[in-house]
Amino acid sequence: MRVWKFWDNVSTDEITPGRYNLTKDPQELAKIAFIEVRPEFSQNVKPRDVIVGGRNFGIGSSRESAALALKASGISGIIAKSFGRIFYRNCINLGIPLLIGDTDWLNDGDEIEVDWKRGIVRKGDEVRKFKPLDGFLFEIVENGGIIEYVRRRGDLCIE
Amino acid sequence: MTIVEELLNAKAGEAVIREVDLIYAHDGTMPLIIESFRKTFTRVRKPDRAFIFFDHVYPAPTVKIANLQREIRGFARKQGIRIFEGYGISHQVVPEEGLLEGAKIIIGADSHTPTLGAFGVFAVGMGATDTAIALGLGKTWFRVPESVRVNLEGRLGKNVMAMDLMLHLIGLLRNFDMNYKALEFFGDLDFSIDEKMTIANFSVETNAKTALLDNGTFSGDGDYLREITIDLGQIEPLVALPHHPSNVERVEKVKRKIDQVFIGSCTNGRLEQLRKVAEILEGEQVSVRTFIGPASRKIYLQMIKEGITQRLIDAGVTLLPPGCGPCLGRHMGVAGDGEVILSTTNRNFKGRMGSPNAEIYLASPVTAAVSAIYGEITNPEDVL
Repeated sequence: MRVWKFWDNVSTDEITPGRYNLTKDPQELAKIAFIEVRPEFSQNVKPRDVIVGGRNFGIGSSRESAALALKASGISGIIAKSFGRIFYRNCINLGIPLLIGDTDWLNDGDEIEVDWKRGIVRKGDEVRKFKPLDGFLFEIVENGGIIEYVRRRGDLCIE
Repeated sequence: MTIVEELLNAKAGEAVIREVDLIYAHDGTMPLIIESFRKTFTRVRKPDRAFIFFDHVYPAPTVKIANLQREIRGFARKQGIRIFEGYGISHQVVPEEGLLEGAKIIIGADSHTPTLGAFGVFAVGMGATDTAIALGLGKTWFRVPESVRVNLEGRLGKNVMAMDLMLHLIGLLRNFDMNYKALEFFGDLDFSIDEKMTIANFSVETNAKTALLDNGTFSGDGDYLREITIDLGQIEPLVALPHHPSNVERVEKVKRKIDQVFIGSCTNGRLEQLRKVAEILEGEQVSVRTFIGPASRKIYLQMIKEGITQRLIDAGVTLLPPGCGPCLGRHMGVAGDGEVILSTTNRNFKGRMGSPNAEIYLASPVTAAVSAIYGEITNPEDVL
């Protein structure tokens, strides 16, 4: 899994800029992911790659197209120091696993292995523990998103 | 209890499920909501408590957008949901049309939904799928946020506005993690509702989950994560530099020539703000292209009645229809390569208003109006 490393305060305006964000088709959205700030991303991203951010990844607009574009790009999940809160919920709702913790030791192009459920990231010989999603939230992700989760249970409930 | 704890009737840190009293969305977020909704629901649970606003890209500038808007109209008709077309920006029209009546817990498919916190309600922005779930079930889950308490003391100076207060606050909170937390304002809240809405609206840029202004009915005796006291009399006109709203500097330190001014949006497009702008521009001429957009049709009408539109047009301003205008870079004044934009909106992220090579500066309507006259970012204290 290749690391795509990003900077602090990546906004949803950078992930799917307003003037390109005129579709609801996931494949079209995947093509515009980071189109202006990192145009090589959509061409070179491979299934199961990992996006790694700094502080406040995904701040700003509530547009779910940002999370949907990244999901459609095939990434396996996102690791950051913190997330913009609407983007955070959007990712969980679409079934994208997230980890929160220090990301300074991860660099662009690194090869890593991630256990999203237990929050373990391995880079070469180095293994670090991250804060995984809480039980209820990881259950939503495991179900492939909140729509599937609600469909299977027939309701929304927190145990 | 904090205001949030009182409204959600739960302690900070708990995850709770709550009925939602009011749900709204707009033309920008509605297409994906419909997509998510159809995957598992057929009927909206409470159609009389759900509303749609066409404000982001309206009237439709392309066939693609016109077709997305057609689809929204079809969905709304089938579900019995009212659409407000051309009324203006959702966060402005909701209170104007009396839709807040009896509502305490509100979700909106727009990140600036906390604007309604000016009325002492719990209002949060959510994405498309969360909104679809709330439409289908009539409820959603919340993690009750911890709160930071802001005590305001005194009065703002003559040329200083709520926008300056908020630029000051976001600067103070620059290195404090506001993610998943709420801002609660107490003390000297002697502002018009127009300016209170600016306070709640801009709070979102600190990364706060929501913001609430005390309306005199809350105890405010909860466990706050942190308390901040601000002497309003000490606040000076401020400006946010590219490319983040917390990148704050005193206006007099920023002598930057500008290409375009935009005054309006859910942040600063209300009557009190546009009255001040008209006072400044009366008998003057703007020297750069200047777009002014009222937040709603009702505001627009009142501007006509008070002669504000006449004064603005005489000063060389281009008036825009009620709505979000160029704030999100899709139409009506998109920024070109290398251009410098001064805007009274809430976001100056790279590429927000058009070209990623444009520079966006954020300031109050008063600062924007004097800067439009001089063609460079100008301290109102120097010229008014």
